[in-house]
Amino acid sequence: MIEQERLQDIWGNCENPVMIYARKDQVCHLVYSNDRALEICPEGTPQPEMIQEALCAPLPESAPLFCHIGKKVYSLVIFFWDTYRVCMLHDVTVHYQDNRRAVDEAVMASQAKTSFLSEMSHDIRTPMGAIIGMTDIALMQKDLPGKVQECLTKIKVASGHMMSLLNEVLDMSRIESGKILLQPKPTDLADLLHEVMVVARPQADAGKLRFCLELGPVDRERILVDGLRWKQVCINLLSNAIKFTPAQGQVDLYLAVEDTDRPGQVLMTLRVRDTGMGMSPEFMKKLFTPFEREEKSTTNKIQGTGLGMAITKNLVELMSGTIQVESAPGKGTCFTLKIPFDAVDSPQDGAALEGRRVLVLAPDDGLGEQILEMLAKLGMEGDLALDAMDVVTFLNEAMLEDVEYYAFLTTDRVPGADIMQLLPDVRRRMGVNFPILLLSECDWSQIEYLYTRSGVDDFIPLPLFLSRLSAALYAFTEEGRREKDREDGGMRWDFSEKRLLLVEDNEINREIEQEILHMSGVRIDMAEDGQQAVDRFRESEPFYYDMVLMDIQMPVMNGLDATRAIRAMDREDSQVVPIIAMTANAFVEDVKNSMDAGMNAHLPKPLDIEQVFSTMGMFLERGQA
Amino acid sequence: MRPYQEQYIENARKVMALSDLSGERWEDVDAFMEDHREKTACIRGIIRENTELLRANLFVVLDDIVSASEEEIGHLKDFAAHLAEGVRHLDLYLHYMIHYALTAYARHWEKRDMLIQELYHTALALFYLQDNMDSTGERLYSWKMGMLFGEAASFIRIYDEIEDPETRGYIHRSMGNLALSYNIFTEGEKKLKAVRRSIQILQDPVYRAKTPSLPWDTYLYKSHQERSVAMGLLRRGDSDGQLIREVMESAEYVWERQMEICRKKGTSPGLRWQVIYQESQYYCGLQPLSYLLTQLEKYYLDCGRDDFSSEGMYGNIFLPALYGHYLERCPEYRDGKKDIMCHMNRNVADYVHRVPNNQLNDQLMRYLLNFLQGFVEYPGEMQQKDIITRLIACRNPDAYVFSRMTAHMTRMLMEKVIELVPGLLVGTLCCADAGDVRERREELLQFAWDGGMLHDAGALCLYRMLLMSARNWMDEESAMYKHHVAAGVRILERCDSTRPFAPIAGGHHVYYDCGGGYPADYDRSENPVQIVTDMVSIAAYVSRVTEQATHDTMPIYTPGEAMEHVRAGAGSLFHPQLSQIWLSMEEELSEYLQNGRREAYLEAACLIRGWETEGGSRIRMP
Repeated sequence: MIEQERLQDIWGNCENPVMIYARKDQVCHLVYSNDRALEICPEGTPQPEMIQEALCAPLPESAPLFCHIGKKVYSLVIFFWDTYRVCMLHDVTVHYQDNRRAVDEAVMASQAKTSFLSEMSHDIRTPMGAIIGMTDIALMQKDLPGKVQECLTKIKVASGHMMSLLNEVLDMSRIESGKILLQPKPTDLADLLHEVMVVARPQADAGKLRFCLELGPVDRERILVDGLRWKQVCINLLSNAIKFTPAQGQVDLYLAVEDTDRPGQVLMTLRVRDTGMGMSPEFMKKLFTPFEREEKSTTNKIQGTGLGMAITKNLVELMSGTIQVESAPGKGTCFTLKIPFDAVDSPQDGAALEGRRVLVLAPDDGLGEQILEMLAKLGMEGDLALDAMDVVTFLNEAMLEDVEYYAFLTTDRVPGADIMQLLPDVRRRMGVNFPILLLSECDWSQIEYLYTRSGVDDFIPLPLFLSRLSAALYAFTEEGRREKDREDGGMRWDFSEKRLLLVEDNEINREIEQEILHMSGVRIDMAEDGQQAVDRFRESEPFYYDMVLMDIQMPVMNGLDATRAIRAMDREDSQVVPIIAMTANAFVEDVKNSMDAGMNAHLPKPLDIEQVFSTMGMFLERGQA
Repeated sequence: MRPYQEQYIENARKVMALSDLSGERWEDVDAFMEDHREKTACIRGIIRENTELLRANLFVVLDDIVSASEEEIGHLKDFAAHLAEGVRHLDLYLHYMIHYALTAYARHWEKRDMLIQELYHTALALFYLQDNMDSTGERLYSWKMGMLFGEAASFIRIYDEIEDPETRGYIHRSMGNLALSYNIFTEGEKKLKAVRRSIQILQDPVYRAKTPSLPWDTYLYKSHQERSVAMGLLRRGDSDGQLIREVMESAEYVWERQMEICRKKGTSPGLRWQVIYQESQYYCGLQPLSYLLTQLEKYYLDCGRDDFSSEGMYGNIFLPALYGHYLERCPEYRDGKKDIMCHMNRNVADYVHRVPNNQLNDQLMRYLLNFLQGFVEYPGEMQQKDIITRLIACRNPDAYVFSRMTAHMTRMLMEKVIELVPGLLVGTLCCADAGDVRERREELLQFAWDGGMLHDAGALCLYRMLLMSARNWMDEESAMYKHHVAAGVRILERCDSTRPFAPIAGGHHVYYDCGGGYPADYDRSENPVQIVTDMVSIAAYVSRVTEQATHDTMPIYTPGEAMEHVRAGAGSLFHPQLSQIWLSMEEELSEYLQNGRREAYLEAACLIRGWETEGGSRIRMP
């Protein structure tokens, strides 16, 4: 048994109350206490059964454990003593409260710091933007003295760096304050990867590095992702790899997107490997801690906040992903990310492209072959031209052999010709409606003006994905153009199951109206005046017509009288068939007269396609419902 | 032009002149009312005539536009051009209708040059229609405007095939104007992209060499002007380097161009250009807000308080509006600048009182509307509701009289309800029970009055449409006008003094049983002051149908007929119990409808001209 005297020797003079419990054979006992209060008022004092659980638990690896009982706080220290498991409780209420205040203050200070950093970096960004902008404007001036140009260039570099530091501080403070929320949207991997390449490729070129992209299996090309944050992660890793890899080194980017067991979910593997200086095992432990940078003579020359990796890790975790790193000094570094995403179905537009022929201009570096393979997968045929002369030859032969090209695909770098000169010639030769599509690794917004002026219709980002190629080609098919119209808010109606009676006395107007209405697929019967309309309606089966479009000013019988006559008929549908007025009379009282005659709506002439279909939709779809 | 077209134009000019308060000098309110009656009768006669002219002539042509002869098309073009006369447009919507029809004609007959030009004109008309709607916060025409400008601009693909330099000019202008269809805050990127593309083309020596006769520098200047309005984006925090550089470049371009013009003329840049330049310095981060505010104060102080020129109005009314706008966005300055802002507010009120008759013009109204939209209210100081009341009077005495009579009759009804069925008001302004209602009688009466005065505040945003039309409204215009309800809610929600009345503005056109009226999304159950809204609905209806408003072509009812309509609408249009109480007050209401109008016009005149009453009825010039 634990000796009471020995405990008294040790703890008797301790100013704070101490209690010691011991457990053996599943029973817990209070074996010692120097707390006089325990004898007087046991309330708020731990009882053996309260301690039982703590004594059964595994020994804690790190102290202290706190136990809140009533208003008191005890620290628990658990240890073995002979065959006993002993729990020593130390009343630390006073110290705990003091420390708690300190902790609260520290948390508040940290929050204040985060908020301050956030506000400050935001406020500094605006004038920094001005410095960068003004420097750009100054650099665009002609005939700058050499020294001024040099100074401006240095200001540009330094302010650009300052801006990126501010952005990182701002991001970190946003992460710390929980202000970053992911905004996933359906996104094409092709676009994401292209945008990453647009940034990373020039950086690698500037550092005289070889930069290779390897695509693993890509089961799905469209995923639900916050593209902005994904690119930030990817570019952070690539920028680090490029920064810490000496000239002539290599940086590899690997990407794979594979289906998982869970339907609709894919797992993305992203690997960034470099042949740079690597990291020590000590530094790797604190790699993801904010503001940590490895102190080496080589790294000291490289600018940074030490926030990039912390931000990267936080963002990856926000995406429910993991990040792993392998590295050794002098042997390079490899980051591997695994992130799950929901897949999104890519539009299927293959059928409209089948059998069509495309002329492809690409240098002999494998890309041309890759394009031809993809075209074959889409059921298309392709002719590969390796230079401008090839293009001319193919076009001439096509004309002689009556071969029709559907489109022209070209890269922006072609041996032996200035693509800018070739494109306008192809455009002139093939006409304004012939699709010319540019494949490029460059940022489209920077080159768009020049290329569209030269005759390019659209742009396909590199690296090339099948879905992107297919979508770009499909957009120029008739179906594709119609879909685009729909997306742009134009024709998006399908009334092919409906039949309407079009009442119009003017022949040319009838033609135009028929042309417009046919775009929706609606079946049309014609009447040339109000009387004919009344007769046709009377002769038809009930509910034969889903709608009547009625001109107002007509010979024999005007539209208002015709409407009254239809509404007066004794048949099931006479009161419910929608009758829409078509007239240039647009005064409020004209509309009121139409309504009073029994019409349901009023379309002003000349007809606006969108308004016609939306009005028809309002009645026909309601009827359907 | 055809004779009917010439007649229409002449009539429209007459209406514009008759609607203008400029230059009016009346001895007293009776002279004012007499004069007003005569003008109203004259305007209504013209409106009838013009409406018939269009119905009998123009609509017949538009009904079958593709069959129109070349000569007819030429007359239509001429007519449309005259309708767009001046900056203010004689008849904007008709101008739009005709160009739209001409577009359909050009498209049908594949007249390419004409199509490009008509697409441009139609889109531009939509831009002005949208401009009228902007203060309501609705973007009804932007999409269509973008489509039309876009279609005209797309002809740049076959630029070389278009030989007419004028048509090429329309392509460039459409390309530049494409940016107008995008909202800077919600579609900023698209807007900037459109401007960027336009500027690239305008700077391209290839195009300049192809059509050297075009005013390239003017086009370029306009595009830079459009891009410099993107300044507001720069402080949002997500602006990138390219955006900052482009906006700064454009702001500098515009400023330098202004300086160049001034150097040639030997003058200094106008106040508005100085202000825009200072704003750009702030937005680009070159100067802090404190600096911008100080500059605005300096400009304001330099402005003569008796300067009623266009520049003077800008300085005296628009600058305080702008100043308020910045204070609203930066609360840290709001309190610190309270004295200055209040001083400016008081000065604006005084300035408006002293504006000479011949300067009571459209521009003044626009500035006042800006002032209202940037008004900063402080407790114990001038309140937004005072400004709105004054604005309503300045805009149109008829509108003031309508609101004033609605207010008076709403208060009469409220008084009766408190007396007879106070329980109906339990819950209104948090009244706990009937006793509480009686105890807070004065507060409720004042609330009813203010509700009546402010319920139509949104119509301020569409005042041009109301005042200037020389014909009956088209159906589309009627639909546009319905947006005054949402506009009123927006205005009233801005400030503490007017916020409680916003639900009244939002619900005063909805039927009691929600079976009709507008807006469709109004939810009666969410209106905390639904009973007062119901009171205003009845009072406003009766006030409207019994008055002879200048441009209102609805039939006019006698007080007795109006009462019958209330009786018929009880339970559907109007609150049934309130309708019964209203009908029980027939005698006193009829008396007020007979005599109250004069009193209301007197008040309007006092507010507009600062007249003072003498012995309760006579008025004298100060």
